[in-house]
Amino acid sequence: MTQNSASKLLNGDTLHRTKQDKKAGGNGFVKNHCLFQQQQKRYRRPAEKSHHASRTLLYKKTFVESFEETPLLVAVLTYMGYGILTIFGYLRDFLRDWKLEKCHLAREREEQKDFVPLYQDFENFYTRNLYMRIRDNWNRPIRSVPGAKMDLVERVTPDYNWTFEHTGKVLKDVINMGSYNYLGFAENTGTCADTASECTEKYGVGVCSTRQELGNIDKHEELEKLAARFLGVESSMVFGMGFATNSMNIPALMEKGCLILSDELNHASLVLGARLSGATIRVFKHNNMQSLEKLLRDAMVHGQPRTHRPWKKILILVEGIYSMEGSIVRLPEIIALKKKYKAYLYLDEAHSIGALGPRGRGVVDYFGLDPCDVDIMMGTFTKSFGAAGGYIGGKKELVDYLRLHSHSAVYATSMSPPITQQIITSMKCIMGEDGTTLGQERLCQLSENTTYFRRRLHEMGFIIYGNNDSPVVPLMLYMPAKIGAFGREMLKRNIGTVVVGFPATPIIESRARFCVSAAHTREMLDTVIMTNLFLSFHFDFGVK
Amino acid sequence: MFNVSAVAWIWNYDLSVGIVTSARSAAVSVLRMDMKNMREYVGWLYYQYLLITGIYVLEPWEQSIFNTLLFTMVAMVIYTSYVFVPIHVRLALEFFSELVRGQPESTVALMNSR
Repeated sequence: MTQNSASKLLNGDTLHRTKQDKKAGGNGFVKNHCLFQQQQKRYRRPAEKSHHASRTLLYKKTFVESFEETPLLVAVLTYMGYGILTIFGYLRDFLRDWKLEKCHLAREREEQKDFVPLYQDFENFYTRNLYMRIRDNWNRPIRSVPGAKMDLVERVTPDYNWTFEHTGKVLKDVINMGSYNYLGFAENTGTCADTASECTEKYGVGVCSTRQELGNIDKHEELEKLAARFLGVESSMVFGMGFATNSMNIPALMEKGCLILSDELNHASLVLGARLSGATIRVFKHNNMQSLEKLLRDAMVHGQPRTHRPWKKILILVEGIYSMEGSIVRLPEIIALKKKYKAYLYLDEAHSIGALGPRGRGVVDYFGLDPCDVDIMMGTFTKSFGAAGGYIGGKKELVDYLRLHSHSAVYATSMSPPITQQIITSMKCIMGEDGTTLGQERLCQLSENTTYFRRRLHEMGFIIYGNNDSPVVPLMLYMPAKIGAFGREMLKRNIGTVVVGFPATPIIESRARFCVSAAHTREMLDTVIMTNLFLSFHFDFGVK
Repeated sequence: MFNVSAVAWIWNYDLSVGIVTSARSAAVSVLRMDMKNMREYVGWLYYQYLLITGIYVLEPWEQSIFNTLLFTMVAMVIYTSYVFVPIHVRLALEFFSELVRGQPESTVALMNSR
């Protein structure tokens, strides 16, 4: 499965060109133009330091990413809004403290008042006074499979979101723009569901053991071989939980005396794993290669902090697609840096596996690179495969080491059989080995949907973050009241979205995050876009 | 009906590229919509005010407190300006006109003495 870069480039070439013929505009943007630019640079500046020129040579197609700056007026108004809400938060805290108002929070008992405080009151200030007021936008109970459309349970709150009651009504066919259902495998009909139910009948649902004891099923071995073939690596190992894959395996690989260089906006699982390992952690600016190179050079030159001994290992932790920004990692440059400075690369493809690349093999396939260059390829099966769990792929020695030393293998329950079967079926579908072209159709549909959605929203003047090819589309909202209002207005018009605010994002950059899926039809995307347009009259999302 | 207004919006959008201030963009977005009457427009303005100041998320009694305070402050500003601004403007005009009148007299005196 491992081809050299030259033949991979050829494959990538032809695929890009055919896609370009099919659709107009946007995707597969002028590959010829890119080559022309490369040639021009080669002739015009032969004696240049080669830093900038070689960087453009690494990319086979244009890398268009945009993070528009917050307009000044919007930033000022956002801070003002937060200030007003903080003042009212203090007022409500005062009323609660002086018993003028019923307190719904956890409180210590009267006898414990002189003890060390159990509940750190000020840390929860934001939760009590801001999050609670708009809490009905999150944790909405779902009654059906979270496909392109879903059913939600209707809730009402008599006391402003402190408690909820179900009315008994069901909101049917809400367009689902929040589930990570990139290839549409979250469905309860079709081959995946049928094979998963057959597997349940044979193996049951519970595994009742860890991987090292009696929890190693032949389905796991089959899945591991299949995943290794899918990714193009020598060997792979699967785990029951995606979060645990990161947080339990990084400590097995890193220890004190090692250096971890992690991106600013890495996921909590990566941060937790890095902290648990005990290694030194240094953070570089998001997707910024100059910052990363500076850190690498400092590590080479100065070594460990006090002793100046060389670092035992240097690991670069990045993600394929960052889910809050929608940006794609600059993988060619990172691999060039890694080879130059002899560091290791850990790539977390939670959102990008199955969603990027002409064959759906993730961000490595998207850039047309060699999977052998990435030392540890990690990913989850939660997003594109419609299941749960994670995997780590790499060289055989690495995976054999992890089988013995990973905390997850020793202590955590292994993957459940029907889920394993779901992943096997969906992976075979994406690879085209089940005899149908369904996988390839879904991949094309996802990339078309992504391009169309992003293009339309951009044309209307909304501020969208991230790369033009990423299926995660954050739409900036900025002001605290708009977070709650947007979520509610969208639900009134039968669209379910995820809105995100502080602390998942910086305080003024709150956003609504759309996840485009291959299961969405053009009509559904048009409905969402038109609703956005209609709501923009009310919300003014910083429209230019 | 909705498609017609969307097409009209796109046409208007092409015209209004480059609009910067929020007041002008608010006026344009009103033109884009079907604002049937003044009442609906005022309602839309109030909704914008609720969203921008963040009052939208508060309970009704908190909104009333904030509105009362803001209204009181604005009323005080208007009253103060009504009482004091004419006097200040008159005094300032007198000061500047005296300065201007004083200047040509002194230059005329200089020329005559030469």
